[in-house]
Amino acid sequence: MSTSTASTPAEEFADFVHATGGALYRTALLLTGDHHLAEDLTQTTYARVFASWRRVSRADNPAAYARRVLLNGFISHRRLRRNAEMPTSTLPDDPGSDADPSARIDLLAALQRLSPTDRAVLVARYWEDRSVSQTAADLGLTETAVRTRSKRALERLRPLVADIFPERTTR
Amino acid sequence: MNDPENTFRTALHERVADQHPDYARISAGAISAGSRIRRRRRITVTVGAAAAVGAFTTGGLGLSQLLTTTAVDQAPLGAAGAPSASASTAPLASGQSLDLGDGVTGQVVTNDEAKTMDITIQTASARPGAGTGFTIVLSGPAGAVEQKWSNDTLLEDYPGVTIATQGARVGLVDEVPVAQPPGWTCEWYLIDDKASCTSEDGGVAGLVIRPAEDYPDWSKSGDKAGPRSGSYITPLHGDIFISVQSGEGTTDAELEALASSLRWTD
Repeated sequence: MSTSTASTPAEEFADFVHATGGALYRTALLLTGDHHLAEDLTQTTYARVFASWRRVSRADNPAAYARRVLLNGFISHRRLRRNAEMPTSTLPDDPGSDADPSARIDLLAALQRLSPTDRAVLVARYWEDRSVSQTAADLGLTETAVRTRSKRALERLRPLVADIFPERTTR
Repeated sequence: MNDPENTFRTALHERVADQHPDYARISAGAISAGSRIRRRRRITVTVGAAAAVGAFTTGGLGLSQLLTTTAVDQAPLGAAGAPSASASTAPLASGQSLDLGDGVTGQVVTNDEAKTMDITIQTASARPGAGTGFTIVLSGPAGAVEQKWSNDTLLEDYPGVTIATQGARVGLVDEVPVAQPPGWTCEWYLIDDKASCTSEDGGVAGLVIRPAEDYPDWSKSGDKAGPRSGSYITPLHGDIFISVQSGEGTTDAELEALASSLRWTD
């Protein structure tokens, strides 16, 4: 982390936020699907980081620490609070079935139809490019669970965002 | 990695590539909240609160012997990829009372004991660790308690723990506060002060009942509510108002119309 222009911990931290906040916020946006919630989650994450800034700033990869705090914060908070969950009753039981192209929705919205954990798995694997084993460690899941959830979640997304998976919708 | 996975990865990146947060606001808010966490971090763990306090008041124990810890700041961070390692070395046990600062006390019970109590689960850690099998029931000033479970590091200090507050959660209202808006079907979760609404053409929006004290902030901030913010709000109604927030398939105009169509039931 660059500290060339920072003279106090707060200034150094502000530099850190500016350097890493964009990626962290976009992760939060993919997880929450709402920019207000994403900013809240991002700010809460950084608050926790700042609370331990003296140690975090000396770590090899403070950004990785922040990312994991965000992921765990999201999972922990959402597990028992269904507050912003969208209805999932419309989720297709057979994700491989032919989808109505007119029903295609925005990718961000489609992600919100997944469970929080499934969403976190996809975001970790395909947005953050974490390996299966890293994702499993990040989210406290087994590698088998990560693979299963990842496959299932992608299958559920297929009919919702058909343009991303053309090979299944042009048949 | 097969092509669908690669195309999905590309799609994710393209979808959020132009999204940017308010860095200054996040930084300032994080420093403020993080500073509060630091001030409250000095956690005093008393094993068997009554006995320990009694022993202390009679001079039998010094504070340092009451397992006082500032371990979070002193604990090694370890690899950046493994920050979840518990910073707290003190294991939890049923009957413990944690002095969490700002007048907040955490009573430690087993999860089985928690099932028999009149409490509300607020959050929980999914990771196994020192807190697995235990629930910390928070009590104290309402604002400080909420700050404790929502912003503090208890879940990191005690992986696996469940955090609860005393008393069954009560929503801001006892009954659905608005009539079913025309063209929409809303499912209410009053305990969470929220509703999820689906329009006849499949659009989705969320309603959130909010306390009146939040109204000035919402009504004055164009970033929170108004055109292109993703949210609209109703006028203040008694001690509550409702924010209408966008979901999939809902346009800004539809959102504004939904907010305008809400009619209070009382």
